[in-house]
Amino acid sequence: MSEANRKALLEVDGLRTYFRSEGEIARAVDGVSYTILEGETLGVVGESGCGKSVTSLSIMRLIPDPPGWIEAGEIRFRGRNLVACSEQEMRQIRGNEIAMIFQEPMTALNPVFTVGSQIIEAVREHQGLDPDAARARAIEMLELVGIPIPEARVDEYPHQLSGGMRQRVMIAMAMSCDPDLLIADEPTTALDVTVQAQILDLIAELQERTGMSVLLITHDLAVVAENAHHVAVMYAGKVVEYAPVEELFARPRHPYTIGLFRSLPDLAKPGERLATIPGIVPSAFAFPSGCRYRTRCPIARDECAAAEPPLAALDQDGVHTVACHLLEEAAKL
Amino acid sequence: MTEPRATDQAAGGDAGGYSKDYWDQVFEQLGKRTLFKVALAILAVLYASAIYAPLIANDRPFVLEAINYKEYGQAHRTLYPVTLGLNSLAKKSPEEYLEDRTEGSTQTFDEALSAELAAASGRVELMLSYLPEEAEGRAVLAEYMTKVEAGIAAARARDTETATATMKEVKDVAKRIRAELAPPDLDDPEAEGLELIGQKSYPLWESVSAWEIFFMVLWALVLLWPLWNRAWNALLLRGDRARIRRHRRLKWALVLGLSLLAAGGWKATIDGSLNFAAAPYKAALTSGEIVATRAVFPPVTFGFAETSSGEFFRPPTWSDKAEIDDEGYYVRGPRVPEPDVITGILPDPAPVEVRHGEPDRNAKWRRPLGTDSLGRDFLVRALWGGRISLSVGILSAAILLVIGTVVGAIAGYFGGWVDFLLSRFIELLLCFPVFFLILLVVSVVPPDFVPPIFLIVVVIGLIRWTGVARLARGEFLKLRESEFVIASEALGLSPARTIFRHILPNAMGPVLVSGAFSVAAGILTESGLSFLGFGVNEPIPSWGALVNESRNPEHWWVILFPGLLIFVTVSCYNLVGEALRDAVDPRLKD
Repeated sequence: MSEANRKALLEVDGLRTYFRSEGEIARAVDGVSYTILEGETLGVVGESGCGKSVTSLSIMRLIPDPPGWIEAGEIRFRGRNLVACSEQEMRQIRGNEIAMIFQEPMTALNPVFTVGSQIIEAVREHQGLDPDAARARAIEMLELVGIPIPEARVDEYPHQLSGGMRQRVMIAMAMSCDPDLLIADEPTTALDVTVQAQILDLIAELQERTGMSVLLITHDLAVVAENAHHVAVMYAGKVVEYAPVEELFARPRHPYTIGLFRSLPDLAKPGERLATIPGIVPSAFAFPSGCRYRTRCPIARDECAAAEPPLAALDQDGVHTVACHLLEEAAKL
Repeated sequence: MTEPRATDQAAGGDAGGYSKDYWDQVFEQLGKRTLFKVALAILAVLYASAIYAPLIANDRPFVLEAINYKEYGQAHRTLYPVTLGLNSLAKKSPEEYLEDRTEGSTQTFDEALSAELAAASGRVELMLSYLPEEAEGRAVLAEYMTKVEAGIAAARARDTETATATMKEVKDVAKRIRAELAPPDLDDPEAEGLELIGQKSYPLWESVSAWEIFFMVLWALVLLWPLWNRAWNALLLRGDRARIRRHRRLKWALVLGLSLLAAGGWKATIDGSLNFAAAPYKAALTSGEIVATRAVFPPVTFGFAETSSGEFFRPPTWSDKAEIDDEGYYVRGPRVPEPDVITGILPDPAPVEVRHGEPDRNAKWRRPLGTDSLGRDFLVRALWGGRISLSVGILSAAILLVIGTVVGAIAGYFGGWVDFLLSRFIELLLCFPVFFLILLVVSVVPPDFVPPIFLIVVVIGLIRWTGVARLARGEFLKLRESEFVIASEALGLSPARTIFRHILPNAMGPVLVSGAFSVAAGILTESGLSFLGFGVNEPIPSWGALVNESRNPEHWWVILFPGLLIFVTVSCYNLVGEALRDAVDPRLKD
């Protein structure tokens, strides 16, 4: 399948998810738009608290209400608006069409059940298999995610498995109903570096095999470079830059993206201090006026405070979009 | 089946031979706690003593092979008057009968005939059962019955003449029976009398109901579980872990099924029912009204309602204060009669009566726990009293656990206004003083409509669930945010499934502990109410009611023994609760 005729599987359009806390409103996600194409991986990067995870929970409609709610926007999955779906309809979609794996494999598995029974439950819920068939499916899934001796592991408890094994189990659980979209929310953050690569390879391999799309949320640029096809860079509840992965790494245009790349350690210059982005992420209760990055931006001017820059295409085919008033100055950074 | 087993063992090689599942781990953890095992053993014994109380302490014999001279004598004595009644009835025409019958009676002539026939044949059958096979009297009785039946048949056919004639003959036969089949005179041992044979009966079993059989069989199977479970696993399943795991539910079903089957069989055949009244057997055996060739009594031969006139407030007989001299006077202790302060007259003590099967008057083990104000044996009443106290605890805790868990789960899981409303309702309920509410309900509802003991159970269950609900709510609020709950929602599971299958088992630890405490609290509440006299109806004992028997410090055994039983039970429940809390939480394992 060529780039051009790939269809959009999921389109997030102007999503706003707010939380109320002690009378004030936190705009955790404030107008996020991105598209995930079929069979491809979208990497979402950004600092802690920029709204990456809230966006993915909004897609699953798992925002705890109260205190949170989806204020505006559309989430179109195969053209169907998930924001307007009933809880009943969402339950059919969750697990079956969109599955999710979590950051903490230590706590994302129910400690009182065997890993097998947790996979079996998901399979029986969505595919209506009988207990024996569901168990066979669970063993098959464990084997698929590379767990040795799955016939024995299926009867073990989460606490008997290592972190990497648990993440594999989570993936097996998520994959057990053949979802079209897998949301991986920082799937490797809690794991050892060696295991991280294995898990990411596993996800890539499963994607190859099943043709599913992946929404890969991370704050690790290296992970994105290796695994994603497109990248969305998020800052303070907004997407500031969206581009194919090669394009972004070759020509980052937003000052924030450039700052992120600068803060990566350079193996060619050992012993040098790492560059940092000065300042802190603004609070979701009170974002600065205009461009939200201007308080930390090295090239900010008065006009940045006046108006919020729209996410605009750089060129004709619109594959690379950036939200910045000062693109020319940024190019010189 | 053999293939996965091989890998199974290979996989868990260093972890103890096989991959343990949840219940394997829970039992392993519990097995490590000595205090828990001791507490559980004590509770098992207490429950066993309560469940098997009718078989341990009873004034009815298991088996009685005896001649009941009194019963025989009564049948013999009343047969002639019955015959006279038959005679006068047979002479009448139906119209005359209707004219003469008692005002307000609706009995027809035929019904009256049937009733008279039943009265006569019942007496004849009873007498026949005591007569030996070769006795001449049997022929006379048979002749009597044939003629009675013929006479009644004639009367039914409205043939008054034949009926009158037949009845006249019947009367003559009845006279012969009166003379020839008289029982021997009990007061005159020298007198030669009619020779009778013994009757076999099972008075104790007839006082055992199907419910009691259910619990007796159930408890026997539960107590013997380690034995038959091991045999089952070794012989039938040959130690195959996977199959043992799958057979777990089957075993429980089998235990329950067998108990139900036994109870059903009992209902269909014997169908006994608990009889509160003291049984006549012991006194009759002592006086000679019943002469037994075989009488098998339970280990303790006192009934829980059996009084003893000479033994009011007798101290435990192993203490030297309980000694009685030959005339029935207490030699030492609180029961020694003192002369009246004004008149100086020494009250005449009733001598202690020792009935059939009882230990001697001064035997050390006659009254191990003493007696109460009516001379009822305290050991027996403590055994039977456990039935009320222990079941009140279990039942009220079961009700409040179910209500509390469900309400707490809903409040904690859904949060928001649901939580707000339920929490306010819980706070409202907390304002009710349970004790006084029970007093109010018990005094308003008539005791013959609902027994007060059921009211106590229901009121405790309906009011006291707030503590469990608050605990469950707290656990749910905490677990609701945990990733595995979000993960289960992300798998598309329904709220009910998430609540009951994913969160509840994780929240059960504190709830179980509070459940164990609730059993203890229920027992204490019942004791308190019974102590005030609002619990069980006399003569049914309960531990609290036993404490209430006397408030005189001289009667120390009245307060000490039931109080000790309550204390031990409550402590054991608390120990079991704590051990359970630790064991059901798989995260605490290595």
